[in-house]
Amino acid sequence: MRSSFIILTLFLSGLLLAYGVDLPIWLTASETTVYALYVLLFLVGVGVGSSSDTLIILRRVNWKIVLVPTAVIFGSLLGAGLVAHFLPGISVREGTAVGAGFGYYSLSSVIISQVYSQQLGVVALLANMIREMLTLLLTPLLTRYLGKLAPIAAGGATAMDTTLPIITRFTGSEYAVIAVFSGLVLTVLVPFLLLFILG
Amino acid sequence: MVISVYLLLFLLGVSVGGNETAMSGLTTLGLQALLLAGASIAGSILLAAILYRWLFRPQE
Repeated sequence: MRSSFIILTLFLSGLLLAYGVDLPIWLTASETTVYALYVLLFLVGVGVGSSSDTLIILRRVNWKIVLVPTAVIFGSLLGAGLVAHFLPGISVREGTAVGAGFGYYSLSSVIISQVYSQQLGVVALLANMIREMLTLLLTPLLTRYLGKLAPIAAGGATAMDTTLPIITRFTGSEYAVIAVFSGLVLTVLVPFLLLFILG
Repeated sequence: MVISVYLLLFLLGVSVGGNETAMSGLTTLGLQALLLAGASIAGSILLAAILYRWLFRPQE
């Protein structure tokens, strides 16, 4: 939550700065963002690989667990695609791409603004931040009325980090393993799905 | 990791701030974002609730 706030503040300060003054070209050039993106993708890989829990969790995988991220993928893409169909100014393909961020706002917004358009990148940033915040707020209700997988599904990729503490608190530690597994699979899939949908 | 994310989002802000089309439609983009976030969550939890009842819920 705190890091969402910092990120939003940085995004807004960049926005106001560029809106107010003419910045040097090297800063606004798209190459700068591409290289920053490569660094980020590398660090995502390092983070996943260096987590000692990853292997332990993968060993405990039961076939049923694979259905959890699968449900999140289909649910997010279909839900977002369906709403985009009825929204003016956004195509089903664009809506689906925003849904494919699974709450991973930093990576999805940067990839989308890079390979597609900046407008859609901003939508992806806000939509996926809102997804994380709604998950933090709704986890108690979701667990109570829709079962222990519901907050894990709502959290998407964030179920492995930012929303994990609250999910574990309300669903119990055996579901923490499912949350981390689902979040990990979705996190790794975000760049591939985005390039597949928008490429 | 954290620093590079901050830097990237700052850079995205810089590109959007310099883009007049994006700046003029910021409210629309926010509304679209809210609806898309709600729909992504709704679709996901619907399928997850079905999955939970079907395979995960402890049997009585």
